Amino acid sequence: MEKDILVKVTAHNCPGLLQRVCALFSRRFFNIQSIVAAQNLNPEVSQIFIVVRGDNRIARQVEKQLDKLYDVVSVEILDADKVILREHMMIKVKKDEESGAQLIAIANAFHASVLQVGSDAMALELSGDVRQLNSFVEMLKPFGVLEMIRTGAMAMTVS
Amino acid sequence: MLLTGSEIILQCLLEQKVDTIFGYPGGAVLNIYDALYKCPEIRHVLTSHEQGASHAADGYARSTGKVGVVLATSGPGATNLVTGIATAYMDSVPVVAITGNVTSPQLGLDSFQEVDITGVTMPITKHNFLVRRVEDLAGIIREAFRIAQTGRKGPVLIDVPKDITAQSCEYTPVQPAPIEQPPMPDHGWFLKAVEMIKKSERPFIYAGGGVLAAEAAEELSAFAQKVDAPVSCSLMCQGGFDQRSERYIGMLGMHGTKTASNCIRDCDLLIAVGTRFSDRVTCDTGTFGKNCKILQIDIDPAEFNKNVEVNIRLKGDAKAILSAMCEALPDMQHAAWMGQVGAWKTEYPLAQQAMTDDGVTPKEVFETLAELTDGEAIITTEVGQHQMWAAQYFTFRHPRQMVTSGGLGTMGFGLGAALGAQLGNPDSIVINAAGDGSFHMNCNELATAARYNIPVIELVFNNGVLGMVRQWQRLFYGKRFSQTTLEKKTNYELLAEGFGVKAMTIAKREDIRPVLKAAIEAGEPVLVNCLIDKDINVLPMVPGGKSVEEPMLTI
Repeated sequence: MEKDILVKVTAHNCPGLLQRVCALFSRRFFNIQSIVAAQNLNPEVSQIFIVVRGDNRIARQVEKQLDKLYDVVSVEILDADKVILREHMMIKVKKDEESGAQLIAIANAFHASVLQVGSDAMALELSGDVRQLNSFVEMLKPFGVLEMIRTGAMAMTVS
Repeated sequence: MLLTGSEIILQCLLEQKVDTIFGYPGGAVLNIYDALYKCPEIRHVLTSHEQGASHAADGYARSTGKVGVVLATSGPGATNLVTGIATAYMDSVPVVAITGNVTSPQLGLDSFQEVDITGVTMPITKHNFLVRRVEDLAGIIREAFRIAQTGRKGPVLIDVPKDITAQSCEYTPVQPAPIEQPPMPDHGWFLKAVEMIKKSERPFIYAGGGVLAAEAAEELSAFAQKVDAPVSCSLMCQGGFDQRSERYIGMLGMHGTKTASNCIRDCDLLIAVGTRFSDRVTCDTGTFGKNCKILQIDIDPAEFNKNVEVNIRLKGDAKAILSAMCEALPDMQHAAWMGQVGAWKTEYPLAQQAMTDDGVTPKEVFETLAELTDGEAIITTEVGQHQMWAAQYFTFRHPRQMVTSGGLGTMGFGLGAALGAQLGNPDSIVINAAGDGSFHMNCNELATAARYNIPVIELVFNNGVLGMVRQWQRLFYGKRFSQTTLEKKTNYELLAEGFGVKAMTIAKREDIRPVLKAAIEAGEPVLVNCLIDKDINVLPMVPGGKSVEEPMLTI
């Protein structure tokens, strides 16, 4: 059964690392939904979160094939129910005199921030899990979404 | 001591006991070639084309078990290696490719003969390096050799900008550490596997190239004896099991034997060692091994459940695992099963009919070669019908005797590979089996054979067509032989002599033995133009998408 597979890759922060990871996904026909790469506390280590669409066989292959990359230190397939999962989004929505207040009300309900208000558009930002972001977008759609950008999922465990 | 980058490269090769490299000079590697001029310990073999050099390094590695080394200049020199590197990657061959590049300040400026070869080769190398500081160079070369030989072997590329080959730094020799062996598989699963084998009544061993890579041929033989099972070898494992043995039943897969097909149909346990269940073996993966349990032994965990779902997987070194298996298992007896397998072997021998009374069959050519060389020759191949005939009809007895591009299927591989194999095995008879199609791809390396007097036999099965593609066109494309009738005007004998290579011809059946004998005894490179009929097929054959259990025996 197809599902979103969340993969956490810890790797040496070498030049071309992201290219190697992407080349692997391209070569193996893995379908990337989102990819976030960033440094963690140790500047020599890079953390990459990848969401891949696929079944269990794909999940196993993603894990084993990534693990074979020389720069990769570890690969984890994360259980979305057991991690704190966050994604960041900026979204630009159409605004007129009437809708301005409604948009701000929706933003408040989601604890989203208003980044900028123009004469006929408003830019909002929201961090949350994937479901929150999706429903936020759904709420805004009737007003007319002009532009949207999402980072892709990042995750962390506490215990 | 203070050495230049070029000198460091050569010293590091010497650390690794490299005595032969293949390559082609050019602007970006001038410094390295200048250092080579003063380094008599390393024999550099100048090929006609960088691709030939890459195949030669590969053939050297496959036939000796050592790391093959190839050196090329930047840009086109580097891209000409790509097919060779991909060939080595698909068949897990340890090769280190060293390329020059433009100077560091010129990188990224579309400079003359600049190409991003690390970017290009990412999907076809185990790893690659772009050297940024001369101080890193020695460490990178040592690491490249380690990566190439560790775990599942494979090619590594090192790209060295020209300025780095000129800069100097302190060099301290380091002896290479022994290559680490992977740990033994989980003991619980190992015991389960042993139980599974003990319970099996009709076990069947299917061995792949991993047996050769792990130097596990002896252990495989002992294991087969212990388990009392028939053995099939994939194309990559030819010679990994003595084909004179009663247990050997031929290849499994698209051009495997009917006996092997029956074994996979009727066995209750398939023991797959060092193999990745290539589609050329499994044919239709959905029905492959549907009647049996599967135990897979492999060094690369990414190969488990990739193409075929298996019941038990043991990750580790094939040699160590087979050896431990032999200790853990009692001597088993499967007389009825082995009797059945023997009966199949008698009932379904490989056969090939000549189209005319005095026509030459590849079967007879390879059987005569096996007889004349006592099955001891190294056979390299190109890709196509002749490749399958070599695997089917030459009796391979030892590991590393067959050098062939299995995974990538590279036409043009064989002649370069033969040069490498011959230089790595000066006392062996080396024969490159070619088709006339493949021959035309890289025949320029005959010049290399002549220049260095490398006594390979270039055996061209000349049928004037791209036989394997033609066979598919005959079967599945209504005999529309689109672009597979070559109709070349090449005079093979004259061409060979033009390169400085002796030429011989097999035109009819009675020529086979005397010509092959003369070629073997020549002690110099020889081209044998072996004329065969264009309508001889490779049989048996499992058509694409069909079950491996039902091969066609006639067309």
